[in-house]
Amino acid sequence: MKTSVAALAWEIWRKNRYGLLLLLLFLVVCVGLSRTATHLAAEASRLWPTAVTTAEAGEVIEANARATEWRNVAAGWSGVLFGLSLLVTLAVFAFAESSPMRGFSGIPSRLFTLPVRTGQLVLVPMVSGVCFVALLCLAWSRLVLAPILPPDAPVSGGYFLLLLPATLVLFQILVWTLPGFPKTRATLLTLLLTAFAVLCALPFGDFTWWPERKPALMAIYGVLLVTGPFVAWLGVARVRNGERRHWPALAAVATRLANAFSRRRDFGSPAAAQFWIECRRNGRLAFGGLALVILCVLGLNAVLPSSNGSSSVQFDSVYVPVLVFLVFIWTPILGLTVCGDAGSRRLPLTTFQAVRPVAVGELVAAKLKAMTALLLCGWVMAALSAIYVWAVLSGQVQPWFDRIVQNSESGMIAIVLGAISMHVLVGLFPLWLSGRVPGLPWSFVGLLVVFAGIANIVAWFARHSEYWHLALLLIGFAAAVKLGVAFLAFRHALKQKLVNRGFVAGTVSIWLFGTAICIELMSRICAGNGLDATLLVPFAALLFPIARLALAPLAMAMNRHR
Amino acid sequence: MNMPTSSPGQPVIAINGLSRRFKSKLALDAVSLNVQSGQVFGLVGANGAGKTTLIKHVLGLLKAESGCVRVFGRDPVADPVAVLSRVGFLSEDRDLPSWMRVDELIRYTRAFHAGWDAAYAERLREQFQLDPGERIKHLSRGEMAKAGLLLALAHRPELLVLDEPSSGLDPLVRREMLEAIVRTVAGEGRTVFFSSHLLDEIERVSDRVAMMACGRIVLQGRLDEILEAHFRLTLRFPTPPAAPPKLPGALHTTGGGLEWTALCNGERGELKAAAASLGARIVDETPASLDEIFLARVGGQRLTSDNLLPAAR
Repeated sequence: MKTSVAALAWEIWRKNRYGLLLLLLFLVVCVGLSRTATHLAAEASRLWPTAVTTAEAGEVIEANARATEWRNVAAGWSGVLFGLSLLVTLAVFAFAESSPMRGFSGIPSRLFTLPVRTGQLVLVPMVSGVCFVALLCLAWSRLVLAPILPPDAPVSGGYFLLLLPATLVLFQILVWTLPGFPKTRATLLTLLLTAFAVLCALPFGDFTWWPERKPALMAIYGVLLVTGPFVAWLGVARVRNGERRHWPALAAVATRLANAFSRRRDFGSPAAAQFWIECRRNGRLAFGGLALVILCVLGLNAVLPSSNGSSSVQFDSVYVPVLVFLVFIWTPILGLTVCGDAGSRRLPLTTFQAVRPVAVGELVAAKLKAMTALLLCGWVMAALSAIYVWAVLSGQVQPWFDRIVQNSESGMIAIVLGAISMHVLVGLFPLWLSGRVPGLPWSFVGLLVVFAGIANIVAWFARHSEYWHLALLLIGFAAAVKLGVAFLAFRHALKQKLVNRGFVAGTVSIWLFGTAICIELMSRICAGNGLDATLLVPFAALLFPIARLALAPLAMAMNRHR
Repeated sequence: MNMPTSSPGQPVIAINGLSRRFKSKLALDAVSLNVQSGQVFGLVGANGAGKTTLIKHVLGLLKAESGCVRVFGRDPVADPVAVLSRVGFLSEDRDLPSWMRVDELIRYTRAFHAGWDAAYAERLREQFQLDPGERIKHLSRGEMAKAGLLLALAHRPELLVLDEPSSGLDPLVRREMLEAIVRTVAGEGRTVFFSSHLLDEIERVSDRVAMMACGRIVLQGRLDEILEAHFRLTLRFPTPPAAPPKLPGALHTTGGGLEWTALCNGERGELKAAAASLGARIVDETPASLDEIFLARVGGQRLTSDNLLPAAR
């Protein structure tokens, strides 16, 4: 490497080469899916004019159904993997490093000691990131999304080509210029990502005002792209020079607030201390993030002009994004962070935690209790805000309860979301607890593959009722595997004295109770809605996790005793 | 007060034939050692010699691939609670939870130890001048080490394990910490197992010493015996020898021309006879320092071995 620019660019590649190659793999897989879907659609339309007999018409219908099925599969996977690709791109070009003591840095301070201009430190990751994300956007829109989405779908215009790089630039500015203010930075990044999600969804919405506002938004993105490097340079130069603004009054208030929430009493037992450290370490960030997103969605909804509709429609437009965030983003992140070390937040245990004189079972139990408590609190927070919004929109609270309690469709959605959130919360619990896999965002790739696979299988069986006997067999097999794994894992953990019989009895009792509730609720919903209970009720028996919980102590022991 | 309870004669730490490999690197190679109750055992070695790996085995943070580790007669992996509740540990990593305040950290750690001596902890906190309201991440490196030592000492453990306790600290903090350790040992007769590459530190406080290089123990014994058995001989030749003189038991030879100095470990009489047979005259005999012994024992191996070790974790 002859120049410092080449060395900096090489560092980005060297540190993230596997991640970048994985992004390429995502693209290739989705191009394959997209091409298959396009081919099947072309095949179906080729058959259409030649169909004369009933048999041929049946063939056409079947070909059309197959083409639609593949298009849905391709669209679903493409959406998820494209979203993940964007997150990984943000992480890669943030160019930050983390340490257990100091958390995430901005631009690593070791680079500040190199004889390199601040402009180069800023421009290399920024320009390469903008080029990369623009290429990524072009490749996905042209090769994957355009062929499978309707021709008028707004994916190939310049809107996303400006929005994505502008988001990256803003993300980099926040990460690099506020390393000394981690909480402010986390708040602003959450706001940015929430706003990004909303801005991505806008072109797909049915908003009458959208065509008028779109050019203004694109102009804002353009201005951000042009001014971003200069702002970043100013901020990084300040960080490099060690300049910091001090607001003593603000700092005093913050200290007073922190002192008010600090622990003043002694702990009754090691279990209580361990529960406290897990909740304290993860709770503030979890609730802060959730509250921020709820406020952000409410704020955007209040600011952006809304389509006309009933209070129920308006309520859904506010709360569907909140629920999606709660179930699919907040919950798995909560599960993953609680699995991490309470000191460093990384998945491998620090020595400080590993030498606590408590059994592995107690460490796991504290994590499980904290996860459950935080999840329940999150749901309560979301429900309270939902009641508030409903009351504001409709002027009364009672109809909201009626809607939830009496409308079986809402009940069904609540159960499905509850079950999904439980699953994503427990996620890849044994893998994460083992500390042998990378943390965010890579840990989610495995989780995503597992859940997307399950969702595809469920969707396929929902469309092919003639194979339900096979589905029943599969459910039976899955239940047998689940219980078998749980039995073996508990036996092994008991034998190694990682857990005591109380832990096993408690976990099994909670599982029995949870499974009974799932089956009962599903039976009621099926009866109330005239749904076929043949598959749904046995499937409900699979929803409550036990095998992953049984494997948890073994995984934690692998982490503690390497 | 929680007094030592190890049965007499039984080693507090017993390691036998312990080996450990990280991928292709052999981190520990058939290590065997015993630490008796009341001893201050110093583990010396260059960076990457395997000291931290050995300590992690003692704490049960690493599983023995072959060989066995017993602490208080128990396997620290199979029975971590029984072992760790009697051990105070100060990590080289200084990986205390950075977001906690000092008083929260003390309260949190106290919950795990029935024998926690609150008055002693408070005394140490005052002595180390740690502000209870300060967050760990705002402490200096020395203050963080002191906080770690406070947590390791306050439950009056039977075994104190210190991994590079003064690594990266200034001489004042080092002295303060060593004094606290020495007081603990002298006052209560507890066992200390500590690693360091600062030989003056080891020489000051240890009863027994083990020197490690490339995962092996190259020398082990009582400190006074080791110092007694090693000495420097200065030889004068009538004419410059063609090659460095080779004496039986000479670990390291330096010099040139007429005068050569050899660091030796052997029978003095035999060495003098061997020097005479080479035609040399012994002009000076001085005791060797631990520093010199270490360089002679470990330096050569370190330079010739390509098997330098990675950090354990």
